[in-house]
Amino acid sequence: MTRGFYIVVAALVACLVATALGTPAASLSRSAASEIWSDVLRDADQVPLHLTRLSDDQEVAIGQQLADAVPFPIVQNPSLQNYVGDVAQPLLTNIERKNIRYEFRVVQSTESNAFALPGGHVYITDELLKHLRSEAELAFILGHEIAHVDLRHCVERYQYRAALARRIATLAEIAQAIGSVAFTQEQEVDADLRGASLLIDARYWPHAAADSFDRLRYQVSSGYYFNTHPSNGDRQLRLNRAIHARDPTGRFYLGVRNLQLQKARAHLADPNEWFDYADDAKVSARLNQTTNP
Amino acid sequence: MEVFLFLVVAILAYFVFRVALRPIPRDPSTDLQLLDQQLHDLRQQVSTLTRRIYELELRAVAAPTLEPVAVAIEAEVQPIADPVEVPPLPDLSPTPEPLAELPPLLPDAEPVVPDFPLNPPTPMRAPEDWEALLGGNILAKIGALMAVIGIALLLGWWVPQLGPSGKVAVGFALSLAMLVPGLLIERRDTYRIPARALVAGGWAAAYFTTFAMHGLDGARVIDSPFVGLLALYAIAVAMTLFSLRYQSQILTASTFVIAFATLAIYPSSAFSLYASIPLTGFLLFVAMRRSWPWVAVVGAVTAYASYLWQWYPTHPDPIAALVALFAYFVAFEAFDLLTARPTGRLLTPLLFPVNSAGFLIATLLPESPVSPHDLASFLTVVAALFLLSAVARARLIAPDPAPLAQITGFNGAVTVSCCFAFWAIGEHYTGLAQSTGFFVVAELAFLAGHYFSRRYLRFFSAALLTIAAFSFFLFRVERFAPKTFLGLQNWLPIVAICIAALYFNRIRLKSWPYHSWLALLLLTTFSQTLPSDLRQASFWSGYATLLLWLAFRETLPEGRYQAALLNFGVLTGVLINAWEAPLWASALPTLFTGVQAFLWLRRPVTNLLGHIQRVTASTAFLILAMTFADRALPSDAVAPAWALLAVLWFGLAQEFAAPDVAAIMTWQVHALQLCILSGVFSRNFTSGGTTGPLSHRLLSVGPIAAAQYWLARQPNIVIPSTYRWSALLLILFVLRFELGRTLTVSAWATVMLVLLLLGTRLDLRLYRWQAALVGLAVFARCWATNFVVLEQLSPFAQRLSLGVTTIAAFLAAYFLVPRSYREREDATDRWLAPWFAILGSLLITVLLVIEVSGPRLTVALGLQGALTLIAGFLVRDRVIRILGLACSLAGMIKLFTFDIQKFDTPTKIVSFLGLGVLFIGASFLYARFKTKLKELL
Repeated sequence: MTRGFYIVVAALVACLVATALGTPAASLSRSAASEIWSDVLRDADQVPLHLTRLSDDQEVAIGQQLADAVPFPIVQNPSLQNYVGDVAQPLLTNIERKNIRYEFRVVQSTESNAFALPGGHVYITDELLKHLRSEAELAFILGHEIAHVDLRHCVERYQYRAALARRIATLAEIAQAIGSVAFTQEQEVDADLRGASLLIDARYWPHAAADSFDRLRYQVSSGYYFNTHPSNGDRQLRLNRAIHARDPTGRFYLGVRNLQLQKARAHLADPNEWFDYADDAKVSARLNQTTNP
Repeated sequence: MEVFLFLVVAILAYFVFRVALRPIPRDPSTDLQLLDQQLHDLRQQVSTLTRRIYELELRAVAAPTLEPVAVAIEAEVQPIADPVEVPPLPDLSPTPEPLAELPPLLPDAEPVVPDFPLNPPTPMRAPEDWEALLGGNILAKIGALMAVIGIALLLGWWVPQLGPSGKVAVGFALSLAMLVPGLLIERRDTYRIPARALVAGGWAAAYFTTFAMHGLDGARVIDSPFVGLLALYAIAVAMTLFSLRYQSQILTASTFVIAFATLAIYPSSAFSLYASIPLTGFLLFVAMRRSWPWVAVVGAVTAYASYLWQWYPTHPDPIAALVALFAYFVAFEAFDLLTARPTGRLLTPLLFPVNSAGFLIATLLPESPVSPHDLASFLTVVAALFLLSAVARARLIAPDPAPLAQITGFNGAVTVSCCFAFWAIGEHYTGLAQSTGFFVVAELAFLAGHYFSRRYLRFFSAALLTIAAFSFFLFRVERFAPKTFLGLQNWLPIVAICIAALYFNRIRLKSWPYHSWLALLLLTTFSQTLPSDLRQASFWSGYATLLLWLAFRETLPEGRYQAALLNFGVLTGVLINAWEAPLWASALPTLFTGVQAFLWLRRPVTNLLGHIQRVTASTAFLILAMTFADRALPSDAVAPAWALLAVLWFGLAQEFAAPDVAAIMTWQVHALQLCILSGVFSRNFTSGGTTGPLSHRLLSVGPIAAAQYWLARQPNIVIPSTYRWSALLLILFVLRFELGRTLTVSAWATVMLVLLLLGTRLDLRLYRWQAALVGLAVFARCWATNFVVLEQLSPFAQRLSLGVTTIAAFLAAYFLVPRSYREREDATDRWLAPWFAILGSLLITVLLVIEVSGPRLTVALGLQGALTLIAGFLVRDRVIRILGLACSLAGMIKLFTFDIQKFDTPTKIVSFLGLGVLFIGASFLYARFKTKLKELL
């Protein structure tokens, strides 16, 4: 038997011993294959998407048509509408597509949801607003939706139809739909990361993003926001890991009282709502104080 | 009644003793003596016949005026059994000298040569013969029968004014009225047939009249049944003597048939049943005395038919009916055996089936005399009777290969006996006792077949053993035996004994392999009900190992097949139940199948089935080992454990296995690789486990990839490139999951450089190919993902840093390719360095397009083109120079199509002028430094 045989056997035995001594966390799933498939589809889709990319004006026109057809009534509360818009403003300073003009609206619905349309139309339901505990959480949700627009996720759905001849566009959309299951999931992860980035840049409390995953999952019984946006432990894990890698420094705004008063930070900056990145315990106490007055 | 029963028993005992005391003709020397004796008898008969012919010829010569002897002898007349006593002739062979001694008697006669056709052809019966038969023979017999029936009715119902004595007198008178004319006319040849019918009818009428003297109320003159029976015996003796005198089989049969018919037309009674018994006895006596088979057959048919006609289903006395039926059966059976005794051959093959069928139909029909409560006992007696018959037939009758003889000899009797024994057991017992009884009977049948060298019985016993085995299975003995024996259900010892008996048959007595298959069936069936702490898969695999060992010792050749079959079962069982059973229940099958695989390791195989058996054992071992690893190890360690198994298996194949075994094992290693890959994909890539600072992803996938690279280098691996590709994919994917979607490209770029280094230094073309393709993946991922999605929340830094890193990697790759490769014949090698240059250049362009917009992009593209062009000159690479020109061209196209539209007129003028000067200057420089440029190129 050759020396290589013994080396390989020794390596495998060492690997077995090492993994047996460590903390195992593997479980049987097809998520690895799904992720790789998603990578391949996304990479393959990028080239035609680049080639058929719409101008910002075209996207705005499409977005306006879609916004006119939104079935949810607008909440007739100007202060609330203004408040949401004010919260979103700091997030827009770091977006890439400066030519897009964003509009934020609160709509009536029994579902806890938020969504974005091409051209910068962002909607959040009044039901979802009821389950939020801080302005930072609202900022993350708005940032997530802004990211969808900024990363062109919204317009990509209509891009082939608008840019290509009808038949070719149909074929392209069919091809895109085949891989859409894993594809949209990756888009959600990308939107999470970009949303968190916008949150940090706007000096909002970074962990509001991950906190909202945990809390809304149990508090909202129907129409759960993260159900419509496929969520799993891996998604939250990635978000936490990315925020940790960013190693944010300085102070970040939580905005519990701002949400209650519907006064944005720009108009009512409470010094007690600023926390250091390491002040997890204080933030938890502040949030619990709000939950249990 | 008692006297009659005594007589019946005595007759039975006589026959049984006669049969039992008969020496067994099994010894060949005995058979030879018997044949000699038969030959001697035949010679005597031939000499007797020859002598009689001589006598006839002498008489013909002496008295030529005599009328020819009538030849109207019925065809049914049998040869004379007892030759006439005459003085023995001198030795006729070799020359006919005695003829020479008779000249005075045959003065002018030609020497007479006796003509004895050996097989005289049977002439076809002419139409007029059929007419004669119908009109002269059958009509006569029917007429006699009708007459006797008329007499019977006359005695029963008619002449009511006559008393019993008068009726009897009338009956006898009418009998005489038929007998006397018949006897008188019978002497004339012309009327011989109707005359004999009259005589038969007369005797039958006399027998019935005698029966009526006690059996019929209206004609009873004898009150004592014993006296009545004696009277019947007397008349039967007379009939017998008469039959013996006339030596006519037809006449005798007709007489007795008519006598039975007369008994059958009257209301049934016990006496009429008893009356039929002496009739049967005397009929058989006559048939035996004259060696008349048809008389016996017709008698059997008549006896059972008359019983069914008269006494079924309203038999007055069940005991009498049973006694009569047993008497019939024993009497005909005794006749069959005793007539076969002198020659070793049955007188007729029909009697046994007729007798058996008649007896069984009469006794087993619904509402038969056998009470349902006594059915088991009755069946046992029948089985015993047929067993005695079988033993007697085995000892008295010489084996005969003819199909009919097979049925009517020993084989038929023993078949019926066994069937009735099974029936009796089935009637009397249930559950475990029943199955055990079946098995005991079947095993005894096999042992008898073995020790008496009866092939049929051995075959038949196999069918019986099958029924017994399936009865164990179907009746689910454990339900009937809830008690425990030493912690086990009490059926287990019995089944164990049965299994041991079957293996004893197979191994010790060299029976057919079927026995071991039955044992296997029993064993596997009942292993399913073992206590919960024993798992059937463990048991089966251990058993399969034992079978294989026995097979290799040539003790149980079919053990190979059985082991393979069991291994399938083990696999199924383990795969279904492995996750519920305790861990050792997975370990033991693995161990046992491993032993089997080891036994096969150096075993030569010559046919396909052998290969299948061998592959089954080793495959079962591999699957079970994988299953065991899956259960015993942490989930992160499963795939590495499988990889270790694959490597060890390959090493074992190369070092210890025979060449053909090694080839199969190598293919199994290939199959294992697929499992390893699926395991890595389904567990390890997404695992979040860690050991210290190292993730389990790296810890597990790294050694697996190393193992695949090692396997790829082995000489006996037929598809080494596949292993290298799969190892590369593992490395790329583990980096993807370890570093995330965007950082992956940096690691992939490093892999690309390593592959290129190995491919160029070791001159491995596959690695160069892989480097080129990994480069393409790096480029695509950079463009599609890294430049768009920013996982590290630092867009600019990440995009630029990763972009620059990747471009630098492409640049390094370009320079890693030796310059000599551009001279190679292989197009892949010639284009390797330009390939990386193209990718790097394109990536720079994409990065510029994303990072820079508007007129600055045009400038940037122009700069990129210029720098690339200069670099092309410096490295003397035409492809680089073309890339530089392409970039410049792209910049100009952008300038003229997009940028210039936004300029105002003065700017446009300046731009055009500038470009014109630039191009003219370039042209001037080219012309000026043309020589130097050529040197550079």
